Amino acid sequence: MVGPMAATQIWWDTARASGIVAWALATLAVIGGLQLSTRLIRRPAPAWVLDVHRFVGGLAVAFTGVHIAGLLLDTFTSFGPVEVLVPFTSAYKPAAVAFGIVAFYLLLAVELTSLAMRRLSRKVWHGVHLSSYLLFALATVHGITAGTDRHNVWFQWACLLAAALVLFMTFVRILAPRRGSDRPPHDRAAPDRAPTR
Amino acid sequence: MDTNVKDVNPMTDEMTAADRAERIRRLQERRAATTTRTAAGTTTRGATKPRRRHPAMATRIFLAGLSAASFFTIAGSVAVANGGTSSAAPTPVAATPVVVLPATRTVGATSSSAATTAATARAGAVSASAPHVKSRGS
Repeated sequence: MVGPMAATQIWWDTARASGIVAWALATLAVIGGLQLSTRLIRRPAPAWVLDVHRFVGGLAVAFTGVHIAGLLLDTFTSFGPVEVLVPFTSAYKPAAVAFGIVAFYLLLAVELTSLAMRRLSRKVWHGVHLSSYLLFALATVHGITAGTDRHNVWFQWACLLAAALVLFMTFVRILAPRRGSDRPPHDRAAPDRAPTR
Repeated sequence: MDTNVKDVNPMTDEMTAADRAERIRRLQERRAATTTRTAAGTTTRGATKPRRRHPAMATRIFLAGLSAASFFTIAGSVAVANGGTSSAAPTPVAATPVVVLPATRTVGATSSSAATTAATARAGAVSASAPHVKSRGS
């Protein structure tokens, strides 16, 4: 039987669990995107990676929604719509929560511009998509500073490994020669590029 | 295919009413044949193409399942970890002593317990009058 205390904790536990899963999925999406641009590993076909990258991004948005809903439904904390949507209005660690709010807006922007990719110019889409780096950094800092599970060893190691991997792939992305010059013309019209109008 | 029907090119030849009727009849026959064959389960020219499968459909399903499983595992383990604390502090939220600080009440606080929690959090210390707050940190 679920006691009254456990019943009131359900939404809080939901928020905690979905926050961790959303962060993991966002990290996976960032790593997938970096793999697409760097082609660091040859084996998975780009079309496969792109499909997974898109799906994982959408899944991250869904779990972020569950995270926010959990916070709103939890009667224990003082998170209302304003605290959840407006940075620095939360009584609980305003800066740490603000990192999460800004990361959420960036996630929404990246996802929506990706959905409307065909209607946008490649420059606009790419500019918004680059904010994924900031989104990953903010979400990680939010998890480390605001998360209840920040003292968990597994979570700390996961954050460290994810940050190291993203940093390494970013360096490869910056230092490696651009693919555009050495690719055949038919490959330049790859599916990861927005069609020009 | 009918061989006794005169083939008329509508772009160059003059069409009679009989030719037009014959063309319409042949088109209707072809359409009916296509519909029948599609219903039988075979793909024919003119039938709607089956939707292209996503390249990573299996991985999509696997990742969705893995995410859901991770979510329930984490939530469950957190709930189990808090189980001991919960039984130690079974006081319902509504029954906790209310310490309302009007000056520090948050915009989104709708209940007295929420205001208590907010005030406690702002003070930076766990109040002895609200032992349940401590269980949140586990």
